[in-house]
Amino acid sequence: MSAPLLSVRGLRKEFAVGGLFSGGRGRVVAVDDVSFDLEAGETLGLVGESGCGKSTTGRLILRLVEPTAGSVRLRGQELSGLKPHAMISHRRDMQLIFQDPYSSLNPSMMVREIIGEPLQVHGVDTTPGIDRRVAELLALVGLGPQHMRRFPHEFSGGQRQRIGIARALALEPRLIICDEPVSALDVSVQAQTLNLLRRLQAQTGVGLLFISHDLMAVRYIAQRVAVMYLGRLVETAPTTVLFDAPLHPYTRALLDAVPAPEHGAAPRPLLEGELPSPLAPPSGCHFHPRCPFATARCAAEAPAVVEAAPGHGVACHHATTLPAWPGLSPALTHPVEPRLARLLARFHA
Amino acid sequence: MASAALAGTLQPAADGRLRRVLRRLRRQPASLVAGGIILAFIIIALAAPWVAPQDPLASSFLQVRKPPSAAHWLGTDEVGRDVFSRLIWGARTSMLAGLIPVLVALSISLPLGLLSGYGGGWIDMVLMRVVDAMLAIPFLIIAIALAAFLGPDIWNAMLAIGIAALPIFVRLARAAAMSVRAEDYVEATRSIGSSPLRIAVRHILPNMLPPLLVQTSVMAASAIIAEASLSFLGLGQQPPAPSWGSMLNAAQRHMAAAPWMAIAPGCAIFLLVISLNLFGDGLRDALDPKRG
Repeated sequence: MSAPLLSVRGLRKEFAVGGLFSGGRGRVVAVDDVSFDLEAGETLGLVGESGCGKSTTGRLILRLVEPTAGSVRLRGQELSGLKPHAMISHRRDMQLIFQDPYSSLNPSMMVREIIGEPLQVHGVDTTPGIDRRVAELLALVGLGPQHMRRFPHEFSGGQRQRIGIARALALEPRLIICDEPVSALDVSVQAQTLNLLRRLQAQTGVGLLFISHDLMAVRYIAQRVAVMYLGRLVETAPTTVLFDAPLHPYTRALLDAVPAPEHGAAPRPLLEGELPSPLAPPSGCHFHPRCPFATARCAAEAPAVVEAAPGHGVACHHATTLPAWPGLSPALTHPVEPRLARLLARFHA
Repeated sequence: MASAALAGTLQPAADGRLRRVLRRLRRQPASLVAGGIILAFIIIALAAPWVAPQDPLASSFLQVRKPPSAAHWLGTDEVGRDVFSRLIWGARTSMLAGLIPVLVALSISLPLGLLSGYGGGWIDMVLMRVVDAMLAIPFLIIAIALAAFLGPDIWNAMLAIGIAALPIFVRLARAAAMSVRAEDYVEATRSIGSSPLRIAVRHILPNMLPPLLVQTSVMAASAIIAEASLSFLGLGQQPPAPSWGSMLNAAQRHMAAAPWMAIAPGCAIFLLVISLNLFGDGLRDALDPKRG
């Protein structure tokens, strides 16, 4: 079997916090022993609460942030430890789409400069001209050549996000890391953008790492989902399995918390407590203080990821003995939430 | 390396950008008027030999401190020179006194601020301590000390004022560079693999300018006044050549007997300074790409 497009093993990032006057240095483990694979043409959703380390994971893969430990392989090629100049050729293959379409485009550059920059930096042969290639890229994301000489502020949020996507596509990457690409957009524009990403993936076979806290968006776009809690992956499973039969109590709690239209069903009890401070993470399983099934063992010993079924990994001591999950809120059991489905149908055309 | 990085940049469509700035400026009547006044001052300064009705240096002991009249529209000064002619000739010095220090401060502070705010590290550390030390001494004291060190001459005075203004400019440029550095589009260009030089020149520098522009117009105003102070101490414009500052300082001894001596240069400074401020404001708004 050939190497997967992206292979992450034991990825770890510690940040030093506090300085001279805060009484000793502390450190935050933002990403703790994260491992996963991503195949070409596949979408892996990475979900979790704000501050759990999802975005940091994306930036570690791109080496925008230096990992403390662990290995990142792109098509079998080890990236960690590469010198900056050796890294440049690999940057062609990996691109990033940002959450905030307002701060991710340089306000003083015109669209053709923004989208043309990756081509220039990598000295891509753009015969018969860079404008032609930029126009092609704009067409790919549903914008026209008349937009080339405009500035980012002249566009709406959704249009800006498409400019960002066109920039990411300029170098024909094999992997795109989407960092909450639809969280800042209106619902209707979210659907458009998700469909655009799906279409582009079908056309180019690019692998997507889709980082999001929006479970329904992840369910729509991803074939597999990884759930993250306080820097650790707690459950990884194919999308249908994860949404039908989640094993980890945290995954269940996340799914219970998805707001659903009133459907007669009694509301599920929501998760108690706050996300603990990553400065002082709980002992053992990080989730045990909030977990309804926690036992003494959970506080003492961190669970390892075990395969509950092929392709379904879970890090919980009690994964096999937990009571059956009642299933997703009935209002959400349609493949896609009805309102979103209507919108999607409209924008599929 | 610099040329290589810059050669790779797209030719910026200067036409489109300039037109946009002009179109926006046109929508702000106040800054248009201010721009017109500045332009008028520049024309007057350039055309001084033809516009001035009399020799600004010709003194006459029969015409000492005469009030405004048909012969002397704005009166005469303490040695009988025509105030109106001196005002026109003084525009040359005073306009330059506003412009040169700003250019000196801007051209030094932009690269330093970029180095400090974007580069960081020990360079930032050392630079900021030097800046702190300079900020601890009042602006005018530094200017006077430098001007005295360089020797009494109007050009030295302008250089001294520019250097004295540096700490504020470096601080501002550094803060601007740091805030731009944290923007997503800088991370985007890093993820593409852009060189640090390209990031600095193409992404950070252009977005540092708007906050600095405002400071520029404020600085031009205080430089004109600082030149007046230096001239008063004999470190700026050398008598008998006129500048608005030196005229104002001479007038202060005769305020009660000959107020016109102070009113004319005072109004000229006021008009120029307020025009510079208004125009700077308008320019910043017009240059701000985030505005529609």
